[in-house]
Amino acid sequence: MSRYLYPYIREILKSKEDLDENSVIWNDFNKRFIELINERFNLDSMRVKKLLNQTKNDEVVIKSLITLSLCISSQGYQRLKKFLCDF
Amino acid sequence: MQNKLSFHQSSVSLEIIGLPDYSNNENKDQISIISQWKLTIIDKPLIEGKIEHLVPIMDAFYIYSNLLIKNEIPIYESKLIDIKADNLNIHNIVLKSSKSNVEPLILKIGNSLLSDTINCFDQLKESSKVIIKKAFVSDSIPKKVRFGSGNKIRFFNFILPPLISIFSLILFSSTFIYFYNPVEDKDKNELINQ
Repeated sequence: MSRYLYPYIREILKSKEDLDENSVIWNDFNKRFIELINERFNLDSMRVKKLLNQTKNDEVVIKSLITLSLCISSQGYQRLKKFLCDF
Repeated sequence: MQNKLSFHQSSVSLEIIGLPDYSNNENKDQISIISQWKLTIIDKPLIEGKIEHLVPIMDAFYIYSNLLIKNEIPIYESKLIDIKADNLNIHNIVLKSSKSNVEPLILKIGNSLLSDTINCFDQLKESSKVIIKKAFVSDSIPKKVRFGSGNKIRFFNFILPPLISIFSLILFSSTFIYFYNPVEDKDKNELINQ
């Protein structure tokens, strides 16, 4: 699925790189991300609370996006699968 | 006439130039003797080299991306290339020339360009038209990771529970030695029998 979403994922990552010039995409994404977590996750959990903290969730969000962007090809998917299974 | 193959991903393109190995009955459009490669990143200087440089650079990017995902401090250093993270979004790449009088090339790329580059390398690996000979290929995952903590943890998870249960049984049962006196018990039995 990430193959089809790659252009969007890439734009979100790029927007985060230069927030001064183009912060709209990142802000929209982060807003929607938090909305979805509010709707679907257990808000009593400490981990979920950390995800909702906009100042502290950057690392998790960026790493999740990078992980998705690196497995758009079957080669990338297999490499990550092998790596995560060994981890 | 040399063959040229290009792999594109958004702002990055990788061009491979070389010849087929006719001694292996390869097709005309295949490349297995790579004479040159060029990595073009938009707004950045052109990176080019020979096959001896391509594989270590690919490995460096793969290892670095693995470290990045693994939540470890992402630093990769080698004779040819250093990659370090400036912050969460910017990565600092230092490409060192094998010639002594050439200064290293320093590039700063973001996460988007990093993933574009890795996806270009993935396309190259997937392509059936380019064959990278085994002499140049090394595994993209470092030894530390390949034979690392994963297998050890699995082994300990397998062996530890039965060992702990046996030792705890021995310990628990050995405490009864202090409470149970067989001589006293014999005397009691004799008294009951009388």
